[in-house]
Amino acid sequence: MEMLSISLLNGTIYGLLLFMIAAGLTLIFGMMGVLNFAHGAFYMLGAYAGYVLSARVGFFPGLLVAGLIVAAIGAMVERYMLRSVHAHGHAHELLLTFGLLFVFDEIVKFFFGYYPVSYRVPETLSFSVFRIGSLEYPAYRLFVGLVSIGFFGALVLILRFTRIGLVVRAAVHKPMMVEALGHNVPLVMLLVFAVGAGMAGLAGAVAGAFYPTSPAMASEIGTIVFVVVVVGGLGSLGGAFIASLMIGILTTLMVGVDTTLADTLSFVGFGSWGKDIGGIFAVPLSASAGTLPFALMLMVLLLRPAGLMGERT
Amino acid sequence: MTATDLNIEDSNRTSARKAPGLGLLLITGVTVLLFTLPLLIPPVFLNYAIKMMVAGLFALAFNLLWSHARLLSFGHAAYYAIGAFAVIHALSLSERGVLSIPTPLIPMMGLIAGALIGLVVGYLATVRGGTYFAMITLAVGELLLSIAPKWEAVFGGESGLSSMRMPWAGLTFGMVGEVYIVVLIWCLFGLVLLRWFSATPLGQIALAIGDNEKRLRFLGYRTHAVKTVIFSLSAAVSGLAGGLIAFAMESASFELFAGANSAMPVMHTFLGGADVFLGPIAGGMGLTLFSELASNASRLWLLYMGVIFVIVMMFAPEGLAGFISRHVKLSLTCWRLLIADYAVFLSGCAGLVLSGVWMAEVSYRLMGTSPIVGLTPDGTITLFEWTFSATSKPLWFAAVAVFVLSLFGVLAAAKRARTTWLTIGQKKDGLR
Amino acid sequence: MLSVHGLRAGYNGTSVLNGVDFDLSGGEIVSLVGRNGSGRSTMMQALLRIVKPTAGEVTLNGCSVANLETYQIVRAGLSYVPEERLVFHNLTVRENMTLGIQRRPNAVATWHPDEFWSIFPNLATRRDVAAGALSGGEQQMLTMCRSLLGNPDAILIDEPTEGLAPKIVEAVVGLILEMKRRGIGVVLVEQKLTVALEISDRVTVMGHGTIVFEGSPQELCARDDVRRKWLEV
Repeated sequence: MEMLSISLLNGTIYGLLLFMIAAGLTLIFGMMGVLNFAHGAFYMLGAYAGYVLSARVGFFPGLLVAGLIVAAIGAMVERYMLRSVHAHGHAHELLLTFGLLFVFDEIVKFFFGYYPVSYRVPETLSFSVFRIGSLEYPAYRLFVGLVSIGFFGALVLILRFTRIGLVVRAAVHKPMMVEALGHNVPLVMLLVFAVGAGMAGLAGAVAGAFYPTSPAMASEIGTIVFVVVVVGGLGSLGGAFIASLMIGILTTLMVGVDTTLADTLSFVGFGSWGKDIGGIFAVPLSASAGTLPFALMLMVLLLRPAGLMGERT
Repeated sequence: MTATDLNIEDSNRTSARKAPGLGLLLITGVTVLLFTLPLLIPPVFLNYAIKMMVAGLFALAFNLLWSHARLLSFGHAAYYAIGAFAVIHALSLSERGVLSIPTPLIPMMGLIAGALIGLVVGYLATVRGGTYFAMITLAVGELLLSIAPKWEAVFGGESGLSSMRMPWAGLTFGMVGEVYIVVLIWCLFGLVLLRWFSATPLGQIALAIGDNEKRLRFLGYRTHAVKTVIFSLSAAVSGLAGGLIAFAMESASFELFAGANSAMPVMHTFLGGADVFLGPIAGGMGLTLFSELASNASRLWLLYMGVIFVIVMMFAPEGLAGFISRHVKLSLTCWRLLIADYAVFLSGCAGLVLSGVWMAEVSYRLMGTSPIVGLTPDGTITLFEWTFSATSKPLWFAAVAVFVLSLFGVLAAAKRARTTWLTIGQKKDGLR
Repeated sequence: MLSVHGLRAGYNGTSVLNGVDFDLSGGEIVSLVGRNGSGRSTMMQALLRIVKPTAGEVTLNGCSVANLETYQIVRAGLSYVPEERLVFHNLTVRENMTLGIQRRPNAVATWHPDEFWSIFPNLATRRDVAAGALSGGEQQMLTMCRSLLGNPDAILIDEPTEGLAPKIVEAVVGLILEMKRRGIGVVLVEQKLTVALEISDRVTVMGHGTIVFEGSPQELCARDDVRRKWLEV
């Protein structure tokens, strides 16, 4: 029971973090029609920027500056790279971001090597906030959750109640029509790209201190966030929110489950048969937590490609 | 721009019709050369040659989907790996005497396994197009990657599987030369298969799908079935490529499923040039050769390749082969107009590469992030037998100067060349 | 007000507009008629540079628009109501209206959302409903009102009456006449020749990407040959 409540809390916080990264990706997809392969790299760049800066300007200012730096990088990618490839079609934009993921990965390895760097939670936040039964809960995890909730709230407020938010919400579905009403859509796209990248970067800076900061994080989180965006519905912020929480909680819960597929089969009397086959049937579900998101994404893509909340096209 | 493209395409077609004799001669020559290669070069290079051919074949298989139906797959590692495991299992079965097929025919198992899995995945994936298709292939790839290391019986867990090539008909397959010939024959088979497919009516319909799928559907074609077939064929030849690597290495592990293997054919194809038949082969072979040579010399090879890929996507989206073939068709008069700019452009590129690589390599050693390459204790570096101080100011100044000057030269030359191209295009437009 | 000279445009190397010359003054309704594929919609999109023209000169209130982006042209006073009634389905009717508002101090005519709420009570009662839930006719009204809120000097309207009930066609025609009354120049692509002839000051017939006839509705009625060659199916 204690385990369950801790897992639920962890899963929720992980889900919120996923949303902070996925928000930019799904908005960018809606406006540009391009799924940005390099988005996971922004998360990674944020973590490394946070690692470098926190040692120099202090932890919390470091987080903020890391987010801003990644936002600037995102803006440059949009303005000087994606925009010039736009004329060649979506496939080439996709390929460009694919190449960028590769380049950012290698640049990070260039400066920081292949192994995780020791980016640590600051002293001020390394205590436990409360206990559930015998388990202590680290304050930093709550901090991650709070930052994510803060950004979620800010994003919702901006989108709902400002004019630029209105333009973004409209442009997610019909960018050309928005421009034909006299709105500077290229500028709005640049802003959304920068803000999306910046949020992913800040998420990286915040999470990097807690989870390992290594070159592998770009493609790891990148693929999970892809799943979130697809399951939620490409271009749908609300869908991305639900999918983030769903995947965050599901994968965290799965890690704690020791049942195997063979055990499940024994309910219907095929237990020993399952164990004989071995292989995937004998693997505990906890080990297949990594498989679940992709299975889910595949199901969504095949059965309901518009996702949970996406518009059918 | 558009007018020029049209002209080039026209001349493309006519020249292809004009000189079949020359082409045939070239093909025969290259084939003969490939078959006599074991006599000409040492075994180490034959290993390189095997990897190159397989990479070329893999890229070509990947590009079947893009060049015909405009489908981008980001999960082709799956079929490559499954082909490899099929061959490893077949090899160990024949090792145990369960299966008796001639050893040189075993790579066929990769082809069959790829075709079957391709049929299933293709049927599901090609329901959608565009980004959704790309995402489905990516998801399938990641799914298999996450399952593979846990399914010991089939994929050998974390350590992988290995087996031995059995002797057959007096051949031991212990020599790399023998393996090379088997791989070469299979690669040529794959090449011919893909080439032949493009010429079949089905291949032509697949080509039309890329242009306008809706129109074909309205005409009554079952485009989904056609796409499933070409997906299956693409996966089959990818499986063959993976099978050949497993055949050559006598081992396979779950890492074959990794994203890097899905990225390779994408990079090879689009760097080489997706719309020219030989482009992916050139890209696959060229880049594999470079990576074999360069990865020994430099730890930064992947960075260079990524940067080149991004630059090509931005400035020459038709790929290097497309870029070159556009220029080969130019008339002599046009060349005379362009030659000076091109000379500046090329020397500028050389300057950029030299200074850029120098700076990257030296700063990489200065960073000290790599456990393998670093500075000598006295702060010097030896590159190509040349020893110098890593922090020497004059050297750094020279490198930066060369870089900036080259960049300037390249940009200026490219701008002038573009203007010339436009005037050429307009003249032709006016004549028509 | 709007003047076009030698406009050429196309898609992927195929030329659709082959040199169009065209003028529009304030308070004038000009209909573009012609068969499908004659280049009418492309012309509208080329004027706004949604499709980038390959040649030609377009001036709006005496200023060239050659170096402007689409949104800048709209802000300079040329609005566009596309054929597909592109309302933003996920936004409310009111939000759709708000998106159209542009401040233009020197505009020929100014419009206010409240006017539209009183002209079209249907929209007013459903102003907080998602626009995707409106009927086709209501969506058409909404797109036209939305574009007018940009306070344009000239407006391009593509097939406004397509697929609408006669009563709603009347309302659309009423709104277009109101635009004319306030001094806005209107370019209308209209499939229904009767409507076009009834409200237009001038009719322009397009064929093969050029203008093949220009004159008053009466003149067009008198020219059987033009109608037979360029209009009848």
